[in-house]
Amino acid sequence: MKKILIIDDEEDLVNTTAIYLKRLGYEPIKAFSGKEGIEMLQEKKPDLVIIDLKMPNISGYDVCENIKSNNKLNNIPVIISTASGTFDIKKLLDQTGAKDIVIKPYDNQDLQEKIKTLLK
Amino acid sequence: MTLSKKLLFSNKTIKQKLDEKFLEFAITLEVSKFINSPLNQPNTLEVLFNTLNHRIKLDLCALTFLRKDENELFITSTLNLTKKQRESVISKIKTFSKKFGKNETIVKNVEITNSSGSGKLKYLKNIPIVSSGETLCILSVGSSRGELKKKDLEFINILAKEFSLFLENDKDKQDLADEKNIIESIVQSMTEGVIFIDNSHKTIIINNAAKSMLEIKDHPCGKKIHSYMKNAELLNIVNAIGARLGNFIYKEITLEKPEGQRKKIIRCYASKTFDKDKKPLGITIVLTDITYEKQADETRIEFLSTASHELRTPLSAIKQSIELLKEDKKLFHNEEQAELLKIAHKNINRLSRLINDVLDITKIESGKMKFCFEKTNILKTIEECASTFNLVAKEKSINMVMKLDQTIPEVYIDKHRITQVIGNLLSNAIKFTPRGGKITIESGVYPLNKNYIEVSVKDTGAGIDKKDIPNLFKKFHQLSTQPEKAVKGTGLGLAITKDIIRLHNGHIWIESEPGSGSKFSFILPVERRKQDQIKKQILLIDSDKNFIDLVGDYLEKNNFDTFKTSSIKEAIKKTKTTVPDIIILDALAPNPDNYKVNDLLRKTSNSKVPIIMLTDLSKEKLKYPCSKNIVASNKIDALVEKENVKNELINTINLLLNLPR
Repeated sequence: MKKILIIDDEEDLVNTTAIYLKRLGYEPIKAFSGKEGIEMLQEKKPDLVIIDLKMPNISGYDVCENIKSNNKLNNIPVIISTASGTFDIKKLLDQTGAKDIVIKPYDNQDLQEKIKTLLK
Repeated sequence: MTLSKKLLFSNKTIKQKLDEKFLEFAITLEVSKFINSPLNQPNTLEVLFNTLNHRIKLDLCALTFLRKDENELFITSTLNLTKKQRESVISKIKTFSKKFGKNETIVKNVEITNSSGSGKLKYLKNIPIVSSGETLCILSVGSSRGELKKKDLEFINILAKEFSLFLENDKDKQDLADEKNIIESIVQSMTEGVIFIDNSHKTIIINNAAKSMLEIKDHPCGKKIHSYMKNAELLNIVNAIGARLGNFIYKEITLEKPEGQRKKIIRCYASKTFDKDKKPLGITIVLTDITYEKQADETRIEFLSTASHELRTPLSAIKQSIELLKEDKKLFHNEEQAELLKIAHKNINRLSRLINDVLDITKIESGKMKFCFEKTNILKTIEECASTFNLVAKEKSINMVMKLDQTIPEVYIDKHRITQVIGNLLSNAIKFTPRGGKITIESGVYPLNKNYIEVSVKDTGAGIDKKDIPNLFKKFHQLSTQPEKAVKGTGLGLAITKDIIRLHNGHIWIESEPGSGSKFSFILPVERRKQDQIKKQILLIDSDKNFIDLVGDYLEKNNFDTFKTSSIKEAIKKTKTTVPDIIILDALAPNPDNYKVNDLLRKTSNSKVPIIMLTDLSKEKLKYPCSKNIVASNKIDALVEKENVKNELINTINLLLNLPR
């Protein structure tokens, strides 16, 4: 079973996403802050990470930077999740090293397709 | 030599010397006169130059400027020089100057080519004229007969000094004039309007932007501002500063336009202007046209308020559906479904809170938030509000302690809005206090000013970082360190809280020490005082319905809320629920009981509400015993004649509202 780590300070969103991913046959791992996310990355070695950008203290950017600069982690595909409507997707992907992006509120279908492509 | 001869000789010498000195002095004096008179540079130099030439017989006298842009030069010579030859002499002098810098040079036997072949100057002295450390020009004197006499040289030296003094002065004057020109150009090219008037309000500077903004067509420089300025608001500002009501006034003024054109809104900064010795010079007024900004602001507020309303409609349908589903327990097959529904419900509530907050902020910012002030027992409000948080606090094992002073007076507040404030503070406190912490709610008379009551909410949370404090009450400000896993706020709560307190004429502040918790305190005035944001309520009682409507419309146009009635019963009933700021009463209604009404109103309503009586009689004729008695016994505060309503009523109301009561 492929492991997917969800990092978001919106607890409810992590929980609902986890329920959805479980139904799709993945093993969801929950992290409710940047700090917890970084811990889980090292501990659970997920196959894919969904990271919210705007989090207090350690932000999604910080987590991405952490992944990018770690040889053991930088091959894990990252999907950025954000509620912000104004950004340059290409620039954001370059900056974070993420493979794809979902915009909140995201469709489950959309998320599923993106995960499928990245885990092929 | 005999003694007498000796004396005669020395006398003669002395006399001669005195004569010489006198002449020298006279010339210097003459020169100084020119130097101090406001002549332009070439003219003055010419005079100096001629004086020198006249005094001493010279074969060459030249003044050579060293600056590149100076073409003017003065040269006279007995050697009959053509223009070209003169230029060659000048270049020779320049070469000498380069060689010797700031030192005087004396050159002997200088060959000069002139019209008759060649001439020779046996003696040429070059004196550099230095001003502000820079050699500006060289005064050259030459003789074909040989060395110059000592006293002539002395005289030349005196003149050289005068030259340098003159040039220094002239340079300063030139610099000053340049600076003035630059400043004037800057002021004229500004898009902001600039007006400067002196202490007698005479216009010294007015730029084109100011003229076009205020539609001034002629040139008002030198005229008093009151003679051409049509805008009363601007003149009021000038008067206020003139009357020493402040050194600086900021105001937005409205320029009325003819029908069909949009009003112009001008932001006006007026400040008293001082010289460097702190003596007042006058008033500087800077005007900025902010019509478009205001318009954009209005559009934004309108949009936000419409959008929030539109968002609420679908939201309420979702909310209702979810709540119905939640009730139907038989529907659920597993825990997960119940959990999902709970999450949906929680977040729908959060979204409606956010929409409400956005709507509140929008209303506050546009000045459209309506307040309903009532005499309220704030302790009851606090207790009611705190009880709604009991459950949440219990869940986190937080101990809520109340320290309420039961002798606190009743206050004029909008109960719902103050409940909102206390709720915001309590929910923040619970959010930031860890499990097992303590929250203390205190209320009592504000110890520093007995006219205020104080309410505070203290927690044992992490405290607030010093760098966060200045931004704490700003919209959407999130703390740099957030408690993890906490319920998300809207980011608007404290901004709204601050505005509600401000609109109650109160004040809110925070004391916090990182590590030892935070304490939010606010104070509210016990009595209602003048509030710009809130319309004053006027109770209008007159038996003549038409007249009531007329006065009522007029008052509403002047931004007052009116309650109009021709029934005394209704008026008394009204004063029991809300206390008006002013009562306006008709003196000569057909019903003679009106004077009783007056007494009655005093008893039933707050005894401090000012009463204005409208009368049909002119003041001289006020012989009506009742009304006369009432005025004399101080039962009414002001008397306004019906025919003078338009001129006097508003002023009277404002006067009464601003009186300390």
